[in-house]
Amino acid sequence: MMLNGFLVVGALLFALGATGVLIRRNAIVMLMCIELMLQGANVTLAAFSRYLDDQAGFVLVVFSLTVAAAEVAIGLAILVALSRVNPVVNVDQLDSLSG
Amino acid sequence: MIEPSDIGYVLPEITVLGTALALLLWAAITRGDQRWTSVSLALTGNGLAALFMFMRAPADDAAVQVFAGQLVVDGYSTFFRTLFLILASLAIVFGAQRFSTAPLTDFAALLQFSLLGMMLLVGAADWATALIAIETMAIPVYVLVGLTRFRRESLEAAMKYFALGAFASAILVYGIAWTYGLTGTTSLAETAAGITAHGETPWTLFALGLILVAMGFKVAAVPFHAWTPDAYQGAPTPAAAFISVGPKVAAMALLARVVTLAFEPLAANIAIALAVIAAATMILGNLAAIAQNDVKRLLGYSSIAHTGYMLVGLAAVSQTEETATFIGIPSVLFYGFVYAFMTFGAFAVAYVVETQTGSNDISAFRGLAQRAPLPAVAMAVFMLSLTGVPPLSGFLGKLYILQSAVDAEFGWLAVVLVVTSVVSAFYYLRVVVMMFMQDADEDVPADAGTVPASAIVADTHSAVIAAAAGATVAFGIVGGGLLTWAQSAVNNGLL
Repeated sequence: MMLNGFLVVGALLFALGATGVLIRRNAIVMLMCIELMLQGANVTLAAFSRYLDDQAGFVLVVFSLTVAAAEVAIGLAILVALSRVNPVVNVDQLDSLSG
Repeated sequence: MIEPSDIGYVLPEITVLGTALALLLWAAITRGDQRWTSVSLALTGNGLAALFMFMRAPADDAAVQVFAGQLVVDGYSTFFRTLFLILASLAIVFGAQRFSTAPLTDFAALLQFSLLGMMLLVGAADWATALIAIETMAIPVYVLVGLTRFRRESLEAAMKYFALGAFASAILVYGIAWTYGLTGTTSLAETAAGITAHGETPWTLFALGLILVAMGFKVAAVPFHAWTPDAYQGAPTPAAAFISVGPKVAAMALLARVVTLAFEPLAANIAIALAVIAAATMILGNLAAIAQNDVKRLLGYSSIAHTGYMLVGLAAVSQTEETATFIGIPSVLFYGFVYAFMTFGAFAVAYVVETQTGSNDISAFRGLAQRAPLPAVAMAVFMLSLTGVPPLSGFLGKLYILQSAVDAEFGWLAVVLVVTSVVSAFYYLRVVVMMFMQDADEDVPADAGTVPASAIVADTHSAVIAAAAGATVAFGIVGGGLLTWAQSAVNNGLL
């Protein structure tokens, strides 16, 4: 069945992204991996929407894309501000907070 | 169908949005010290929003679905929206202490945007609304944490909070995708019917698990809590005060709707999952708090522990059938309400100490009773209430939660709650002992003790502390009234 193929692709994208967030230490790569997770979710949503012949899922995809765009805008802005005070983007060096 | 009259029900939200936009415009044209104009603008907006909310509160105790079932206006959402309007107003007055004009106006505008998201979130009746509202709430908060953008700690905290928050959002979207695929609907109420029809399969549990994990990040439950102490420590103190109460309680409100409405058919599984998470959260939050020396980090771990207490109430709700004497969800509402004032007030006093000594270390509280007696007394009230000492509101909150846990036959969870509360007394009372029984440190600047408190703490900031302390004491004495309100809110919304 076609549905399963799309779901597997969605799950793979999501899993790749999640793994990346957990093991990569570069902040920009982590941001890209979060995008990958969101795209995996979007593929899943669109596939279900098409399979169920229901428009609600497609609408959710549009919302989710908007959310992703807003998140990236904020995330990159924080990264730029951070790189001014701390030029390295490796998250292991974000260690001034502890206790 | 979308009716023109729907607009009337979202007037509070429209007012809050209008205030946020007006503040942004104001930030662009303002010159000189205009702090109090910004504050007045935000407070007027919030006051009007509260007025509109109570004018259009559903009169016949019936929940009203607006915008084609996207949003529900009911007693449940009114309860939380009242709390959020109060908290945001207090936070803006608090912010006026900390920031000069331009950052203050940004702070107030971001706070209003986040407030808008929180107000929509507690009324979300559809996964789409829930998703948009949770992001509207969270994204301004990431900026609030990093608002002092020349301090490395602030930006570092913002980056950590953002990375984990965005990670959680992605998990939430994936969970919503699966829930939608399995049930064929995005409505929270219809999701339950879809899940009943589908039965308890690995896939429904998978979707539920994803959503619980995402919500676990938002409410800072163990093991998804790691961002909390860092975010609170690095954030400017007024922002920390707001994020430790507002977004957390709003996410808890959505979680309550999700577990009692959308995933109600899986209640047995939810009860086990939430009970385990609640126990881990209480134990780890309280044990980690003992080792903290920075008061904002301490409050961070304390807020994790309090998330655990609230989750005990939700676990109890999923465990048992609703009966006449059972106060499951109302006990969670009560706890969220009183927790907000205790923690907010504690941050407000921590800011007084920060301005006096330039430090957030617990040792900076030494001798506070002599330097600034009134804030010290207020801090003692907050600490004792957070511990759960009668007759303060924190005690009643724990009592109600405990009662619902016992009613649901969650004996072991009740025991964990009591034992961890006793442990928590250790670190809360340590602050009290520092303030009242020890003299100021040598390394505190010599003039800190001689400057009269009134010169450092403006009257408005004292009013914020007094309001939080007053609420903490008052709801302890007349807590029954608040519980009655919470009960009617739940009857008018969730059930």
